[in-house]
Amino acid sequence: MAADKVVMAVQYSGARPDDVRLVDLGVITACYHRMSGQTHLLMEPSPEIMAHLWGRTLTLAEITAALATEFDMAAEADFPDTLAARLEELCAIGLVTTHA
Amino acid sequence: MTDKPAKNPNGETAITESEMTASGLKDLVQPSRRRLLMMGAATASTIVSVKPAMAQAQVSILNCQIPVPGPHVGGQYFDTEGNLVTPDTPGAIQPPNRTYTGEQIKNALNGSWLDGAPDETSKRAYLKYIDKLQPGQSGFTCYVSIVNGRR
Amino acid sequence: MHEFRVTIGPASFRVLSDWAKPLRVMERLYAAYPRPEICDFTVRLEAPRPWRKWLRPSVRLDGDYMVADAAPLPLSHAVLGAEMAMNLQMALGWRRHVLLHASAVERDGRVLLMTGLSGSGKSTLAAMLGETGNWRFMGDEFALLDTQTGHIQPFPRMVSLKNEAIGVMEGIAAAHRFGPLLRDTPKGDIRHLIPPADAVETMGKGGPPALLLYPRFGYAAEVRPMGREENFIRLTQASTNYVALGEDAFGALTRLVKDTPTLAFDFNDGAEAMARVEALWAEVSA
Repeated sequence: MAADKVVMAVQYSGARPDDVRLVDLGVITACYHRMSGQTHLLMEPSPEIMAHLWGRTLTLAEITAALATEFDMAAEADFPDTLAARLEELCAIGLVTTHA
Repeated sequence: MTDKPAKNPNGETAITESEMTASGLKDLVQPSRRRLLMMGAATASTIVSVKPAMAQAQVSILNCQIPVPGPHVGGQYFDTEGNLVTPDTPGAIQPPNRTYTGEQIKNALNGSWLDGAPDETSKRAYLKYIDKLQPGQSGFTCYVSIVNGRR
Repeated sequence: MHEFRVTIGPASFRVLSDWAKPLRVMERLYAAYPRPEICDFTVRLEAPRPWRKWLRPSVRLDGDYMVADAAPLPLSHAVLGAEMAMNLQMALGWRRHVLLHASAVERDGRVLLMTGLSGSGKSTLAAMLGETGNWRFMGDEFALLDTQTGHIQPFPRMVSLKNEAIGVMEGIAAAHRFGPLLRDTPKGDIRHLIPPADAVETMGKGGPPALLLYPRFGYAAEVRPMGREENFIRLTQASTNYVALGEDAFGALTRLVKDTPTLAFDFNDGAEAMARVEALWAEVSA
């Protein structure tokens, strides 16, 4: 339980809007990351996570609360786990950064 | 999903759908939205990143060749891992001093014997040497186009 | 060294050769094409050692951009080598457009693009469509995508027909339009076909893409929609300079994917394929 509290308190910072260029292709959002010159294809909820994190820093708990309504996932117990996994992916490619 | 492709005008086996699709993309888009969100941490990566296409591999119909050793080796031998060592190093393996075609190396990677390799240890060493080649060294682009073709 | 120069689409090439004969063949094949003053790329056909000009003559390819590991070719395949080396210049060195592995034909100012790997049938289909009335041939192997306008520019090099495709086109195009038959090359038998006169005359003129097809020869006839995500990824893999061109290429390909109806297109028979193409084109032109 204590571990869960720590995880939910981890902070994530998003990119600035100028750092990336997003193009909605329907199911997929194409993302050009200017700093790295790399192109990524993102499935939801990743683009939505990025949108909530533009130039901001939020904890996992705050991101969960914001997206739970948007995706109608408020009742799903493992929604935070899902978001944590997506955030980890986004961090791995440099679109989101994390701080303890 | 197995296709039974016919021969195309080039006499090559036509490409199967599984070969054409970028890694994981087909699996990615099939699940319904809600199911994907539900998969949570258990899902494999949901981000597909574009990797550069190897222009040389796509365009080249040239028979490519890999000299073993390349000119940069200058008289050195190999260790069992394909690294360069001085000839007097214990266990050093003498390079075969010949040029292989891409086809020969591809076959050797698939388990067949390699002309000029006196034993399995030597053959492994030669293949590892090739695998360690860097851009600019003789044989690098040839090797890349073989390896890309196998994936 | 002997020299030959040619302009193909927006690009210009200088071919230097230790032997005169291959360049005489190229002069004939490219007779209708412009001869440039200044060249974007230089390609060389060289004897690996001076005596190899005559003794078991062997051609080593070199150029501004070259794969260092290419094995030499016999002199009888020199023209093929020159074509491959010129292709490699475009694939590795062209920066003015996004380079797509695609064939293209045009009608009424709009472009049909067909993309796929070797063996998909894209080249033979484009050549066949270019011979029938009403389609202007733009290229069999490379299509150039303008990142500012989104238009496709032609690159009408010599059509490279392989194996069975040779017989198919010999039945359609006049004999004087063919280069020599090259047997037993690394890709089988090859014969070059000179693009139709209108393709050469209008090779400076591009157009917006109206339909994108992914042909697949050797399967029962079927047409399937292509998802945008799969389309986008395949196009990045079909482009040799996508990464090098950065954000401009990203914009150009996302725009192409969003704006151009795209279908996977399986076929087993050339005539049936042409009829199907006509029907699909009619649908997007309505």
